[in-house]
Amino acid sequence: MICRRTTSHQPLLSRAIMAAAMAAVLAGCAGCAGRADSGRWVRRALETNRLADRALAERDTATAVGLLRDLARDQAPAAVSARDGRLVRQDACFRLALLQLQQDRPDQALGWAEYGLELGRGQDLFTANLLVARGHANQALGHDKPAARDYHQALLINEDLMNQALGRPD
Amino acid sequence: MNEREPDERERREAEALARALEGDGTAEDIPQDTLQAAALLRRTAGEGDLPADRRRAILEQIAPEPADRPARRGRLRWLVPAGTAVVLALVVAVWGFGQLTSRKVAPAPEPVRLPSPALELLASQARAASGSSRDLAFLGESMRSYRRTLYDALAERYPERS
Repeated sequence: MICRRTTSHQPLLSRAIMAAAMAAVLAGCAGCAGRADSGRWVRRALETNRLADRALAERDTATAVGLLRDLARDQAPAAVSARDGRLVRQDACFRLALLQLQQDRPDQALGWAEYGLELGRGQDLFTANLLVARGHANQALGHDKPAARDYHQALLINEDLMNQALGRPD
Repeated sequence: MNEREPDERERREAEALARALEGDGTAEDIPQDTLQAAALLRRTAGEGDLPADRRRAILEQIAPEPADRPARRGRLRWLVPAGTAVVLALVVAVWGFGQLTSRKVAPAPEPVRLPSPALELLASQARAASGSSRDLAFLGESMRSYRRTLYDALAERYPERS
């Protein structure tokens, strides 16, 4: 009796052990896959920009917006540094904001500039570009003060970059 | 069949056996081997069977191992695959845990060294920050060459593995 009761638990226990083992294997594979994906992610981002350029050359703005929107929302793999992932996505956001401004959609442009700036900020060209784009969107929406603030912040970064390019101390 | 008639001695022994089977084992004229045969026959016929609890007690006393063996064999049968599964799970878990912790312990990936923006690009950015739409469009165009340089650096930093 005792023996039979013990054996009835065996398949359950064995299945639980095997499930834990499978989970560990999957976790390990996910880690390896993340590292391998970084190069593919960069190549895909470059290809997306090329395809968007081609679509714009053919005056197919909708396709270009769709491509860039996917890139802006696509999180970089863990093996890509957070800063590099941010730059790629912020550049896509900047391009989207410009396209929306050209389409007279300043509210959409403001949305993309905000989205890009929420990804992070740095003393770099991409943060300054987004501040410039947000300034234009605010200006088009009649928000003069926020627009001026955005332009000013962009110019501070621009001055810093200019000093570096000219080899002058900060 | 050509059976002969039993003689006097055989007839006497048969009668004695019949008496012994009926339980009358006291008669002096019954031979010893006849009494033993009668006792054996009575035992196999069911008389003299041991009570069930007594029989179990004797069985446990004289043969504990055979009674216990199936249970032990059952346990052993379970231990082999379960033990293998545990060893496998431990190996895989240790490997998986190592993968996860190495990612935690490993330093964050170094960002790429950004290519320096050209002075013309910075100048167009400064002009776009004045609020002119035309300058903003020009900034967008000026970014093309810088974008190419940036992606070259990124491709070098993150090579694609086949």
